[in-house]
Amino acid sequence: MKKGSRSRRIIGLVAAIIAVLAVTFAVTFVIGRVTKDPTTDQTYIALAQKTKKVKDETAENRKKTKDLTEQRDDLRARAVAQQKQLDEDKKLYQQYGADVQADKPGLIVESISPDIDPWYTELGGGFDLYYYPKITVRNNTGHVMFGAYVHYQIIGKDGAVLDGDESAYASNVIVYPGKTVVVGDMLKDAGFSGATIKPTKYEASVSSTKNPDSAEGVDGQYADDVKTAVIP
Amino acid sequence: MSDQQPQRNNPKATKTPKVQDRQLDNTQWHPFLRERDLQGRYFPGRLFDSIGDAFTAARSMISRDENGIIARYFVVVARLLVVVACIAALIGTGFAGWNLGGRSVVVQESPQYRKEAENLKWANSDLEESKQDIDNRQQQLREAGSQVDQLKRDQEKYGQLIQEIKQAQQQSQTPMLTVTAIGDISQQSTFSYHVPITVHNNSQNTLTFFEVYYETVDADQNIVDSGYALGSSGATCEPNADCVVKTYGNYSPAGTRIIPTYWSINTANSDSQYGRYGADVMTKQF
Repeated sequence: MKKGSRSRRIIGLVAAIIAVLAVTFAVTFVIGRVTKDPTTDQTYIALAQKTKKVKDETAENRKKTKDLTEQRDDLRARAVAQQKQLDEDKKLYQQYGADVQADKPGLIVESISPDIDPWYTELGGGFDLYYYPKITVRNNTGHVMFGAYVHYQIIGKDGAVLDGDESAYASNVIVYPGKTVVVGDMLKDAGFSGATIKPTKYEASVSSTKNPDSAEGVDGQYADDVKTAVIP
Repeated sequence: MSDQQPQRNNPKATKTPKVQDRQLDNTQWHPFLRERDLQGRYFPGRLFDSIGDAFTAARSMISRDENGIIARYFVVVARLLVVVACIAALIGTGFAGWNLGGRSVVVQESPQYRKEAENLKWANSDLEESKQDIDNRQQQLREAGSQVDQLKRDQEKYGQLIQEIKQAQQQSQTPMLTVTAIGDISQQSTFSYHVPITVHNNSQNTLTFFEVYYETVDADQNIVDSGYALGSSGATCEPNADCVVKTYGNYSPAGTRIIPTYWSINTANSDSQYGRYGADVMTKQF
């Protein structure tokens, strides 16, 4: 009996100790679980650091984007301004400019009109006959032209040169590229009827490439296939 | 206690013959030391010997604890030790519980972590977006750049000629003769046509000679005729006066537009001036 109660007491004691420890463990376990702050955990801290890194990088990228946006807008504004300028220039070019025809002379002879003095025809002669040769030339100099001379010869039916150096001119004009101008002369008749007017060379005063406000001369020879006209 | 103390602390007072013998041999020996300890043995041996001696001494002490004083002390000490052990066990268990409780929380599933993970997700999304923005901007920059380059090349094609045209369309200087009116064609005789042009003398001098160069253009801006308009023979033009110059031609300029191009003047003291009109000069379509 005494021995039995002693073992019971020991069993009870052990059970009590286990119970107390279990309760203690349970309570502290719960407390530990509840009071756990995940933000102090290394896993969380690593995550938060990563987030911060990404955010910093994003902020840097946005700053860069802002700079780039400004650059882009500047460049676009420049493009718009240049486009506007180009449109104006194109309009001006279409109105006043023309491409140079590379295989043609600076002054292209378009047509020649060997006008007879209308008064002579009207009044039926009785005074010296004058011709008023008019040569229409196209400005192919690639510049704005202010004056032009076209030198020509009078060549007889037999091929002999009756008059070697005459010239028709226009001055104080403003001839835009690609436009024609009529240069004229006054020529006293010397048995020229049936003879041919043949341009030989030209001289033109054009806007200077170095200084658009000043003029410079250009000249050239006409080839044998130049347009001619027969004096009636 | 009182009769134990002499035995432990003062070996001289012990009555055991063995100890007494030793005391006689050498009084400075410690009670736990025996003859074998003198023979220069190593420490571990000595230590075990010492422990063995201590147990022996304790056993003899307990065996001679006639009135149970030591036993009582043992009980007190044992109880104290039990209390300390209990407290230690509680603290240990508590600490272990608290620790394991904390560890039992899966951080990855906590709201804070989830929120942060969400933040990271958005941050990554933002980052991706910001990268795309940069790519986008750089692409746009390249496009705008090539556009500007292309425009520059296009401009170069026109550049020089446009400069010349613009220059040619500007007056070379403030005209001394401003065209204020262009009259109608008047036919004087069969082959004599005139166009009167009214000019204003802007100079402070009386002009003894004044003329206006002109051209006539067709609908395609081709120049069909050119010449000059003069004042009547011997006519002068007073300062700030309006004076008339006339063109002369064999043929009618009908159907053309007359455009004054240059002006030229002479004063009484032979001061002459000459200049080009701008494109804003008055013209007239016949």
